[in-house]
Parts: sequence; C-alpha cells; structure tokens
Amino acid sequence: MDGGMTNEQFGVVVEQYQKLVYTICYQMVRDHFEAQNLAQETFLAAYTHIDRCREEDMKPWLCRIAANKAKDHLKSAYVRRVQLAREDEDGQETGPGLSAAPDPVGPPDDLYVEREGAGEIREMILSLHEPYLKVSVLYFLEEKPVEEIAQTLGRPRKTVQTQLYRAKLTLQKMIREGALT
Amino acid sequence: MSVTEQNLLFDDETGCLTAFALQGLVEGSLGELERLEVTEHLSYCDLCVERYTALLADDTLLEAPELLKQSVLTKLRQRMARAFVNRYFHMGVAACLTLVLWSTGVFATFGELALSPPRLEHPNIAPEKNGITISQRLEDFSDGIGSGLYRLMDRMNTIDLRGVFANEKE
Repeated sequence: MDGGMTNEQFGVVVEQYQKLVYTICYQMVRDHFEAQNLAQETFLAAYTHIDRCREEDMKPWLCRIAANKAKDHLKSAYVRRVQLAREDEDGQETGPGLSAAPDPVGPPDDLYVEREGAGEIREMILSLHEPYLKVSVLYFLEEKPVEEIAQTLGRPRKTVQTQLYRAKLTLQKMIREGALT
Repeated sequence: MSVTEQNLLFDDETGCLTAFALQGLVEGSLGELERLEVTEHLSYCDLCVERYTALLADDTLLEAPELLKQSVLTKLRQRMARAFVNRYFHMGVAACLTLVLWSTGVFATFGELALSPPRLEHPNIAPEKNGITISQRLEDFSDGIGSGLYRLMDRMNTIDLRGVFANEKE
C-alpha cells in the first residue's frame, strides 16, 4: 500500500468520518455488526486513494465506497435467499432462464413467447418500473447487448446484468401467475 | 413490495431515486430488496449520492462503535506488514536463485558469450568466418545452462534435509 498518508493522519480522517460511514452502512444493511464490518472495509478501501480526494469531496466519495460495499453484501444475501427459495420450490421448476447466475441470456420465457406471441410479453415488459424498465426494453425488446445498455444508461455493466436478472425473475413470476389472462 | 410496484422508489423518466426512496433509506422503512436497489443506484449515481448525503446532518448520525477506528488502523498495519514481508520475500528468493545459478557456473557460460566479438555485422560476411556459427554458440549456451542445472540437481541431492523434516514434524 503506497498511500501518501501516515497511519496517524489517516486515523484523524477515520475519527472525523466514522459516524457518517457507519450510519450509511447501517442504513443500507440494517444490522449493527455488518455495518461495523462494512465501515471498516470502506475505510480500508479508501486508504489507498485518499490523498487524491479533496476535502470537500470526502463525504460523497466515502458514501459511494460504502454504498459499493453494502451493495455487494446485500447482493450476496439476496442471491443466497433466491437460491434457497428456488431449492424449496424445485423439482419442477427448472425451465429456461431459471439459472441462478445473475447473467441473463435469452428472452425470459421462450416457450411462452412462442405460444402466446411476443405482443403480450412486450406489454408485460413495458409495465415494469425503474430500475428495470429501461434495461428490459433495451435488452429484451431492442435486443441490445449488455455492454451497449450499460453505456447508454450510464450504469456499470454488472449492475445492468443483475437488474436484468431480477427483471427476468419478475417477468417469470408474472407469467406463472397468469398476469396476462 | 414487489419489483413492479416500485414506482415510488425510482423516477421512471430519469431513473434516479425519488425523495421517498431516500427518506425511506434514512428512516429504515425499506425492505431488503428495495435497499439493495437503492444502494446499487447510489454506488454509481453522483447526483443521488449528493442528495442522500445532504440528508445526513451531523445531529442525525449514529455513534460509531468504539473500536471502529482502532480496528481499521490495526487491519491497515497488518496489511502493510504483509505487503512488506511479501516484497522482501520475493527479493530474497530472487537473490538466492541468482546466487545458486552463479555458483553453478551458468553465468560463466553466458559471460563468455557476451564478451566474445560480435558476428554477422554485415550480411555478406559468412557466418563461419571465425569457425563458429551462431547456432553452435547457442548450443554452447544451452549446454552451459543444462550442465549448470545438472550440477545444481546433484548438489541438491547431497543436501541433508533430515533436520528440516524433523522440524516440520515437531
């Protein structure tokens, strides 16, 4: 680690912003123990580049790092929960697009599209809300690649992938529940 | 609240967080998936980060755990120590390898090659002018490395490792 700041100076920064970072982490994960871990990880990640950050930008900068850490934590908890729920359901539900990997490939339910026509699926996609509406329109209807969607919407590629994954789960649920009938 | 009913959390036009979403995050009224969506958005949207941090006035912040600062600094020291040890370990290994190769005579062969006069400076000069072709010299060089490595292997076979393994057992 080659941060241009001594441990003592960094200790002063931690002292100054620890309440803010801890509060942000807690508001995001709602667990004191995890919030403490995430706050620690946030400061450790910040250390390497902290001398490049201006004092007036420190608050939003630390907030973004904390949000990234909290996002990773919440995402893995969500994926675990979805996988467990699927294992409970499973035995019968192993159709196309039900992969647990957050990397959407293909339309949400090919069989359904063939049987019922693309028009109804389209209606369903257009009924979604942000943050899923734009990514779904671009991916499922306009068939744009993930990379291009990320550039168009100014979102990280991985975020687009996970949003598409969750949009797909929602669409599958809507199909199963017969939302269109 | 399911994904499709979240029109209150995100503005469908701009894709940014609504005031309701930010307030919900601060007050703790959002569910797990909603917090994930909001957090995901905050991880890349500068505008919403500004709006969110503006809500976090000093008097609304939670008390940080007492040991937070200490644990950060301890972890930092551990990481730095690890980085320091790694760096010098690699340098040490490189130095040992150099010494071993040097003591087994690999560099001697290489040195002879380097000190000998250059060849093939002109395309019309025959490669056999001095009686040795380039391919012969390369062969000599690889033979040198080969014999050096053989000597190294011989030497390793003679090293008594019993002490080392005895320590390992202990």
